[in-house]
Amino acid sequence: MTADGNGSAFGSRIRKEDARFVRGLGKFVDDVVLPGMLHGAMLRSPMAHARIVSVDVSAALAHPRVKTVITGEMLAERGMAWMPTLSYDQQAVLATDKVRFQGQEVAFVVAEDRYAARDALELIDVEYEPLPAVVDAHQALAPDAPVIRDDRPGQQDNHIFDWESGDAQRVAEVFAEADVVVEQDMLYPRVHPAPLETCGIVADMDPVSGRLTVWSTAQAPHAHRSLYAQLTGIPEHRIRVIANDIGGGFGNKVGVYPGYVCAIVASMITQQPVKWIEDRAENLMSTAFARDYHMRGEIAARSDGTILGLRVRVLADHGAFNATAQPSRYPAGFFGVFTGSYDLQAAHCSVTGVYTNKAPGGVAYSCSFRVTEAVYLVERMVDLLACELDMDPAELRMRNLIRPEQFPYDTATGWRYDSGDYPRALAKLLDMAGYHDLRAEQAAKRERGELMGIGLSFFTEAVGAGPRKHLDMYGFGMADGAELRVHPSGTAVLRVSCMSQGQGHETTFAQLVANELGIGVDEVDVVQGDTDHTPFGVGTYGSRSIAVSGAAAVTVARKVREQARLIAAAMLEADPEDLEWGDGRWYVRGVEGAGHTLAEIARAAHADIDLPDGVDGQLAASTVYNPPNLTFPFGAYLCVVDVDPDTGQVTVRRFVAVDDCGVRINPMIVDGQIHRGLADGIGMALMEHIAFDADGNHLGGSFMDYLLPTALECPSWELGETVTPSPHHPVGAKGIGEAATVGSPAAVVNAVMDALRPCGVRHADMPLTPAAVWRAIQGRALRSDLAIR
Amino acid sequence: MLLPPLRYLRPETPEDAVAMLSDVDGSVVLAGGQTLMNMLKLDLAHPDALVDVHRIDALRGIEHDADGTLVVGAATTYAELARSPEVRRSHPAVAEMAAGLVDRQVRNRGTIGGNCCLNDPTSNYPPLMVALDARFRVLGRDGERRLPASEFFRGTLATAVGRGELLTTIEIPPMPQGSGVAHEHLQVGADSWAIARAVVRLDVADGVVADARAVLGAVYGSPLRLPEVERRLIGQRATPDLAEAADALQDVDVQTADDVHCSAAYRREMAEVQLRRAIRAAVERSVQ
Repeated sequence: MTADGNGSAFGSRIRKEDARFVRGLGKFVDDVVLPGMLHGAMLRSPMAHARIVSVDVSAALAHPRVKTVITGEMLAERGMAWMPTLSYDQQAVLATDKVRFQGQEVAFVVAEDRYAARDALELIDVEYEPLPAVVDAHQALAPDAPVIRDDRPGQQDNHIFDWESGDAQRVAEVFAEADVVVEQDMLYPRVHPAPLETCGIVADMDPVSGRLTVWSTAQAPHAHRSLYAQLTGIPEHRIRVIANDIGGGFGNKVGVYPGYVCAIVASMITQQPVKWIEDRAENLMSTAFARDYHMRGEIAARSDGTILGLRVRVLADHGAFNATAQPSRYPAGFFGVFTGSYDLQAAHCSVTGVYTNKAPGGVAYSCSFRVTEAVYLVERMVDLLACELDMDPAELRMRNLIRPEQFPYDTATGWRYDSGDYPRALAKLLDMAGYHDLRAEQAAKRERGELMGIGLSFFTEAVGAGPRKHLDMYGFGMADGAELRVHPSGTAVLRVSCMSQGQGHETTFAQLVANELGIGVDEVDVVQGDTDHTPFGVGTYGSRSIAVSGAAAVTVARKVREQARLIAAAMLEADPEDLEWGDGRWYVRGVEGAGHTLAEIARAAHADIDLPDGVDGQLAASTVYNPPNLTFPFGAYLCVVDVDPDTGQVTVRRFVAVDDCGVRINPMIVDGQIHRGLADGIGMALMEHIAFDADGNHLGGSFMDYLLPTALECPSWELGETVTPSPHHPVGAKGIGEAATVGSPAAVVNAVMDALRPCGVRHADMPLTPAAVWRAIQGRALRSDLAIR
Repeated sequence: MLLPPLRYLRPETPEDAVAMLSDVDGSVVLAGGQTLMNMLKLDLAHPDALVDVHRIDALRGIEHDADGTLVVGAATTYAELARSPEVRRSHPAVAEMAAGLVDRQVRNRGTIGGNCCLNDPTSNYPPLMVALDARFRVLGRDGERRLPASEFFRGTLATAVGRGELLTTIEIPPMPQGSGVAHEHLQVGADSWAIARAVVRLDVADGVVADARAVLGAVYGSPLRLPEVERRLIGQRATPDLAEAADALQDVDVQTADDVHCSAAYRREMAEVQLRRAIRAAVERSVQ
């Protein structure tokens, strides 16, 4: 595991963190045990919409092991009953006036052990006056719909925002010229990121120092610290947020939840540490969901298959509080990239957000801010167009893909795609899959009445948010800091602001630094997730770690290497300008093999040589990296399914994925990320769905009801790659964390719809469970006859 | 999601277990715990005491009687059934069902007796036990009772095991020469609950079905035996056309319910599909 500074630290198939994870020695928040630690439990609303008449906690307080019970009223006295959301709305920490979704936080019991805390929940007497619930987003704006957010001054209805992007006039013109226009309503259902580790916190307010220390499952520790400071009034420099190992996040752990705030308040009140760990039902019912986009797409084309324009209308169900995580100026996230990978003349989308009596959220679940919804929309529309024109969907895509010479490409909705060679990726995919043989096999099977489908998806992501000028999260520009210190022995510690939830940052970031400094990957440790020991940044989500923090790490390593040049020059008694870097050394030009390694230079920096003016006796630097643009990873996916015509059950037989995420630093981690995302896509396409009944009761509070894919639903993935380096990232990387989640659902759904073509089925919404597919085959109503999606 | 306060008792013998179950109010049997522990954590069951029988040697093990009857201790795990060469030889359907449980942890902990005593509509074993004419030995204070499967399963989550009683042993008669047993089921995911399940046994002699069992699972109540389907199978030549006997299901009141995965109507349709498939597969498996 060594590196020569010329790229050889890349390509290793290692993961440093696995040594502890595979032995069960990771340290997660629930592993934190402090002396005198108390335990919290949350009382939640059994109703989707109800007025709170009274909350009586006296019996709970009388429980011998209960220390305190926090109510909304108590928080209101401290000005903490409400907290700001990432979308500049307010969310109830504990309900005071009404409950607005089933599972909403009502009271917080603090007890000496977690069993007592749970038992005492049953001793709290809450009187509710039920109110009619708004469950169907389409009913939210009806004139007689109950107003959910009467806490908001002036709010007369359930409308949150209208947002649009693109040129409606120009779209109308190209639609008027088109030979063919295809329309389709489609729903991207409400799904849950469902990390295997639920959310949790240990809050420890030290009454002596006035310092608050928080251990929590935080994808964005620095942002959490800022919010805690704002809420509690504790100065920011006296708050320390520590995220140890995190068991999956996928966007679920970006925001601050009421349980966190309650645990902090409880520690402030009791002056003892307080732990709160959510259970599975709580996680599935109350924490951030994703998607819930009701979309109507229209695509216009010439009869030869040239796509002219795309128009989309979206109704976005944001739940009871607008807590969507996205950059401030983008209430629909990056949905504006819905033009996908195609060279269109015009496009327009309008998005309306509404409140409903469901859990808040709308996070970027394994995608960069609604890119998944955008990709699904365009890839379904292109397939529907192919059907309408009776064209091969691969041929239709190839005809309309943005051509390599058009990059950087400005889309019809104002995005600048940095780089790409789309036709190459699609051609590689078709070749790997044996596309023409598959179509021949399909034709033969159709003759026999068998339902085989081949689905394609070509996606472009917009990740690595992002340039400070355009992008901020809750007022914080999306730049990332990095600090690097090389010790006298030549080993290094890198401190970054992003936070791994299992993505392997400890390895990948060490490889980035090792690559620049010519030291071993084992000689670089990465510190993350502790706000006292890392520079500020807005965290890990939206595939931004490599694109932003990774670039920061490379930049700071190059700064240190330049410091080393000056010190090496002093050691070699040469002019710094005469030095060259290679093979892990600074050497005098022409004298390769001589010169000094970083370890020698580091030792000298701390030794007794005369240092030039302005050079410190150390190798250490810090930086803040502000990306000039997003990065745009892309890929071409193909899915082969067989559908059982008698039951509607879908079997994914093959999945071929060609990804271009720019330069790959650790191919094993890249493959692992793709495997995860592909499984995710199969889950969303075929199984996952947060369902509600007409009263707003949540029907998916366990993994028996909310189904996740396992290895048994997944084929053996067939992966391929092309490499188009990002022109503006210092090592050409683009990010891979979410590509497969973004690209795969459309491929699976397109495959199922392709299989069902002989049955006359044009579209059916996810999840394509056996019952849903069977109903489509039978030509029956496509919406679930039981659950409101 | 936390266990309520409970007494935990661990008897050494079946007789001790029966004594505890009789004497301790609100006591229930804990075997593999694969369902009970979830029910406790979800606040769906409220016993006062758990009588853990899974380490009682007398309740474990796989034997064959002289006549070929398979005698299985009620606390025998799925994993033990799945890997037993004797079971795979004598009663392959019993071993295959255990091997088909996708979760290794469940296979290692879950027991055939627990599965039968729960008699959840989605449970795997009850319809198979009915199809194989299994007998259940139930121990009580006053001695042992021996019940046929038809009397053992009494309804949704209910069996003939009364208060103070313990299922000790399941006896499965030897498979007749030439019989074929098939189990077909439909699930949304490989590790999710069954939407529909059918088990069919055809005893075939000289190419003709001498006796038959057709049983549905994943329906309300107990495993649903289908006498009219069986009547249409018996005496017929064992060919794939026999699947048409499933038409008789049209006249059966198959009770089931809507849930988050599908409607009751879909379950009923799928019950018929699984039954047809099970008949065809049983024909294929029978030795003619």
